[in-house]
Amino acid sequence: MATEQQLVVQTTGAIAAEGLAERKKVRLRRHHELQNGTAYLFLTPYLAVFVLFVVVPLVFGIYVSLHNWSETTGNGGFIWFRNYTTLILGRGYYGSEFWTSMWNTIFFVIISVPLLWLIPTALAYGVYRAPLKPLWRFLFFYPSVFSATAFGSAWSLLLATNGGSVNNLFGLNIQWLTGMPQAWISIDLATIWATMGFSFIIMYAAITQVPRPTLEAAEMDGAGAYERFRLIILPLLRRASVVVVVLNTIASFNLFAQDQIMTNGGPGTATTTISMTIYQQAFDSFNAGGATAAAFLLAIVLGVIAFFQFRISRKAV
Amino acid sequence: MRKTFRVAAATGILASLGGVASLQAASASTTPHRQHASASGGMKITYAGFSSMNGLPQIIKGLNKKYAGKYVFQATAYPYANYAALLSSAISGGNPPDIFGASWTPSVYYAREGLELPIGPFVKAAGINTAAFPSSLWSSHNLVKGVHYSIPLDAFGTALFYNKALFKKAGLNPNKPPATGAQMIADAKAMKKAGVKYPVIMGVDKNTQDFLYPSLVYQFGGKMGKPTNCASLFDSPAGTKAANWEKSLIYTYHVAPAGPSPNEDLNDFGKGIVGMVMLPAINQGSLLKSLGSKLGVAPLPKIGINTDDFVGQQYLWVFKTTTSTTPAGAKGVAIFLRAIYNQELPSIAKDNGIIPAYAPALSAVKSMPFFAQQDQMVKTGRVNPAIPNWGTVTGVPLYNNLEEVLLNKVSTSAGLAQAKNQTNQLTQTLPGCTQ
Repeated sequence: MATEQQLVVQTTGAIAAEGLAERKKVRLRRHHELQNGTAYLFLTPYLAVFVLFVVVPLVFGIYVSLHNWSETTGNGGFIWFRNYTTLILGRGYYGSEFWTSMWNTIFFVIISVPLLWLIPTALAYGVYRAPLKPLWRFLFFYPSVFSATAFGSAWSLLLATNGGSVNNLFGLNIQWLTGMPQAWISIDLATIWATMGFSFIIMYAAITQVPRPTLEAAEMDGAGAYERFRLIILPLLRRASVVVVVLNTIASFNLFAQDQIMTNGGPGTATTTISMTIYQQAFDSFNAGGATAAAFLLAIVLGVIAFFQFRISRKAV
Repeated sequence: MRKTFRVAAATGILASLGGVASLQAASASTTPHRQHASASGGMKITYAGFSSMNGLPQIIKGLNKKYAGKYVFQATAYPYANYAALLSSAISGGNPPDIFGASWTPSVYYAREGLELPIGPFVKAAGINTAAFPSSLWSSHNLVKGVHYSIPLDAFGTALFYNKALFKKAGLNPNKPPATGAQMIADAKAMKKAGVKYPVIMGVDKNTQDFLYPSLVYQFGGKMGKPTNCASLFDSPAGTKAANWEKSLIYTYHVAPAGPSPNEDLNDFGKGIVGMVMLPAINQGSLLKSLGSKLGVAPLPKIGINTDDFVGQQYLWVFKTTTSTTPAGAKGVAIFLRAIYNQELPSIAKDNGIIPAYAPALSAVKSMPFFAQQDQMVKTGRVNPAIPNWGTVTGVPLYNNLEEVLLNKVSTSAGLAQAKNQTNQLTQTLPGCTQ
């Protein structure tokens, strides 16, 4: 049986331990708060820019899209979702152009995105196995440094119907930029040539992360280069592939400059993209409300596609 | 901490939104808040446009020296390709330039929106003699609500460029370009017979057609649009004849190849492999550089019933700003206009081969090559109808459909009918256009 003195000591000890734990907790909380504060301090410059140039325009864009808004005369009144319904129902010139250009863009995305994954992946594996790696890396990445205006102009000159080098060299008379489907093939070729560099670098970096012992073991088990690629490397490239596919999907939906330079959206409206239509609506017709609504609809389409791409990839990995 | 941050962020967003809203309000009222006095104490007078600006820096320097303490003059060059976007941003931001220079029909748009000031008082104060403007660029068809809002600065017609060396090769007189459509086809056939691979290249896209097609519509006695209700009129018999004549060069007479890519007429002619092209005369300077003495320039042949042609142009107008609406600001604008018309125009002509649309400046550049031909093109020239933004707005549907016609994908009547329908859908949304 504990004496009174023992009880006092025990109680005092318990209180002291409790106090110590409490002090420790407070110190830990302060430490976390300080850490959080430091984190916020570092994040603040970015967040300020993000809020100013992304959040504010986004919120303001939603506001504009719900109004009859012109850049030159400002707010022409709240019209609820009329800008959206006009586009979705294909009413008027820009309503019908919205869908024409949307389908054109989707067609381009369907063609270009798989190729912008397939070609860089194949090239990355080839370079991974090849000698003179730095040289190949440089050569395949090099076109990425050109602006769309520069490579679009160069490809226009190469593919011109009458004075173009390609037709003259091979004695052809193909309307590369004014015939269909050649116009899309030409834009795809130019885009793939110029933009695959980034995808190539991502896929190459991912291939170098594949554990060498696994590949060596497979090789010892008799797996050839193709089997090793298909059964080991490719499954391990899924995350990088998702990044490449999502980024290329977004970039392809935003196709503008090379298309404008090479075909000017033609022949007729056959290669007019959604970005071109949005630009025309905003700056030729000064219909900022309609153009902003079209941009948000495009963003929704992109968001849905990206969501499913990530979901599918998560299930697969 | 987290809560504090959230509150701060929310306050920032609200503050920013408030700022944007006030800017928009300023733009909507078209009375932008701008400092009257610049840092050096003078009233700021701003000019922007897609002119070459080659002679402007010296003029600005001279003006700023002469009017030091009273005015500070500033000029900004807007690239032609996206001047509308830049100007829209400036107007949205509540800070348009006091004076702006661009094509004629955008000035109609801004005038109808109430963003411009009538030009008459400024012209009078600047001492510019309106009788010295060519009648093709300054007449009653340039009125908006019965008032002139802009004055012509320079102009360039639709030219027939021809290669004198290829003319010689075909046994044709290099100093006698074709004067009629029939003659042009005959010359092209002669060149083809002599082994010239491309007697004519005719661009089928907007870059060529926005000059050539209206020229031919006017030549066949037609009109492009009706200013009173902004209705398009190019699907008339004249419009059909114009498109059919162009098609005949490709598919009937086989003197022009089908499906040239955009700008190929200009590029290939510059390489010296094409006999004739029909392009805006603004290309004269670059073609002279690449072809030298081989270059021949002539007005467009008489293909229809007259020799009219479409002229590209630059007009100047004055935006309603807090500067231009004050007596001192208006005086500053007039000083600037006077300097432009007396000094800049000759340098524009010399540097770019563009005809000044003002007789005193025109007489200063008479020695320029092909001056007489250029002058003739402007004299017989026609500008777009007084419909807001006609060239830009209608350009897309009209030339998209015309391209399909010239590529032989749709019939002329179907293409023009579709173009008319789509153009009218667009013009209905323009200020002052009710059909």
